[in-house]
Amino acid sequence: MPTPSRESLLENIIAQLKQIKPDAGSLSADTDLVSDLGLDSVQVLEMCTDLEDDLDLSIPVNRLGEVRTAGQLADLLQQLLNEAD
Amino acid sequence: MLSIGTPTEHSLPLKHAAFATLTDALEYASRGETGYNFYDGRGKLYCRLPYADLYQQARSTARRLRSLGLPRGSRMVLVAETCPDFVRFFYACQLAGLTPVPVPAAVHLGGREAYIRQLRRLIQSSTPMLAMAPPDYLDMLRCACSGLPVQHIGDAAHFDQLSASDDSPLQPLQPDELAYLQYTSGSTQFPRGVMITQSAVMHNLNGILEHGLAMGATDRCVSWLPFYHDMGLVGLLLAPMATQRSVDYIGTRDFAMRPRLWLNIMSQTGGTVSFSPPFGYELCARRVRESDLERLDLSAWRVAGVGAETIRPSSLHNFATALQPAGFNPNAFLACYGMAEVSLAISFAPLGREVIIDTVDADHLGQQQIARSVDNCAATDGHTTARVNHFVRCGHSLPGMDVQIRDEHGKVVPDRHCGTIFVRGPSLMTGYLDQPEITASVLSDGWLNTGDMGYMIDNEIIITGRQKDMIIINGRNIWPQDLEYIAERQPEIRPEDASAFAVIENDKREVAVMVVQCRQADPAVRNDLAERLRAAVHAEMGIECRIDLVPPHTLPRTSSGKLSRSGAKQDYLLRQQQRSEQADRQQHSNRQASPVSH
Repeated sequence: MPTPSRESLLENIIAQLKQIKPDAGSLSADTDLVSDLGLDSVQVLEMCTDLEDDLDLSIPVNRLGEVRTAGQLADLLQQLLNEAD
Repeated sequence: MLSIGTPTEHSLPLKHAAFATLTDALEYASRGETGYNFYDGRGKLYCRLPYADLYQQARSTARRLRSLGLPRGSRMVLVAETCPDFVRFFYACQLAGLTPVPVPAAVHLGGREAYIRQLRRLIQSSTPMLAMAPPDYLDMLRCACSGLPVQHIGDAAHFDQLSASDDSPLQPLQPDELAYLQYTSGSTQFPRGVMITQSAVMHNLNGILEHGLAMGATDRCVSWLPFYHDMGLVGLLLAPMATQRSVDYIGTRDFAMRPRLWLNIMSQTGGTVSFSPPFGYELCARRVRESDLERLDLSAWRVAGVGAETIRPSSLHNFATALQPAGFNPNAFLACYGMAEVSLAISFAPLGREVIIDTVDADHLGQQQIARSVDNCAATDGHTTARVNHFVRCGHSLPGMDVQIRDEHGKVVPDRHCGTIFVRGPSLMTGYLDQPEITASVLSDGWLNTGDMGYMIDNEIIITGRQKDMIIINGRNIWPQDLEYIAERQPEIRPEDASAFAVIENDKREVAVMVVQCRQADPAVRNDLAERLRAAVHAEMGIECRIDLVPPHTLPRTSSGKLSRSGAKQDYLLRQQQRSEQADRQQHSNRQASPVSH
């Protein structure tokens, strides 16, 4: 399976976020997951679970420490997918 | 590939922690076939660690650590991820005469810097000579140690490269030496290291295993509790080993992501004993699917321990109802009470008994501090009150553990009178590391002031509220002073400008609220501040916090001039009520003004 593009990863993330926060309005790469969306830690894990299942990878907990926006999460997923190859 | 973990039963005669030290307990367990098993986030067994192998590995690691020639009792910080290396180094410290200090391995989204600050505070408090983290955490650990006199910082591989010292016998920690230093209790901002001796923890383990759980030869434990938490470390790492039982572990984060994994492992391995805060049972009840129920067999589950936060009867009820079709026995729920300062446990409800709820008149309790049973008061006064509280009976204290309920003047009160819970016994801590004043404020004449509120009925303990101001979100203890400190770090906030507490939402969940005094009138500036605070609390603590900005001099004070969190909470609830009434009136007048109606 070819590695998904950053755009498609971002689309996937935004789709997950819309499920968790249906009232969130328009979301983009710059949406800050914490201060714009107010995800709590259980919701963050819920999102990670779905992304891990979709992409068949595991997101190391420590690497989430540097992620603030949807775009940064897409970058991290792409890195992890490349590392797995 | 590994498919089968260590066996549940073996021929080694069972001993209930009747040992002088953790090393003695491990040496005995190593003569059998049981051990620890580690499962990944998909439920696959990735490491099988019989106590026999663990003992050998820990001895060899201890020899390497000994080669460093550190003074006896030197501390080693261990970033406590649920993994075999943590366990090996924890026991290696026991054998090498070092004090292990488990610290949290939990980073929140965007929380790298906050985690490093938290680690740094723990390292400043515990002043370790050595610090170890899993490779993923090593960089953060190094940042946290920067400029501090920690001699060796590394992952397990780093310490494994040390050359083993000579073959002379190891000198394990003795009964009067510390078994570990525990940081679960207390605020992250002002950490307190609980000092627990070998004899204290062995005494508590014996009480837990023989009296609390009546652990038997067919028992098997399952756990996702973190090793840096007292229930995870003492209850589910040390206790099974001290009674030579096998344990199946999944990572805490893996559980939080896939709660059904816990049930799967319980079912697969025939687990009989597992513990969780009420939050874990709630999470499972919400996520379990119809199709799981046919697959799962939870009929062997003998002890489903519940503790660590005030137990809401509804969360247990939901779990029992959802899982009863899979064979879960509601009488497996075992309410218990304890804290790191007593090693772990103070009391257990009787085994196999249904959870007993005491329903009391809430107003009477609030005004008179007396827990009047609602059934009784209906009989005597001929009326029932609208407001009641439900509290779970947490059983008798363990042998050797004395409990008293005292009023604010220090006088012991009779049954059903609410007060502060004091405990005494051989499993108490020695004190908080390097904090004699704080230690003296909670420990005197052998009695520990738990800070928890409760009452007794026929020698059974009932908890009405934990540490006066503590906020509990999703099973985690949050200290209000930590939230307030985050606020005070903002340039426009001064000390004593913030007051944090929890309120109960309509869905009965606790939500953190912080009332902050703000001198700005510009709505944009105010919004910006509220947003910044929310984000900072989230990054640091991983929780949502409602920010309520109020004018200066709004926060109430006690008679001694200190900020009153309970007063701030009452004022906040009043403001909320006024706001919602105002909103109702607004809506009402809008409707009247509008000619269109539906």
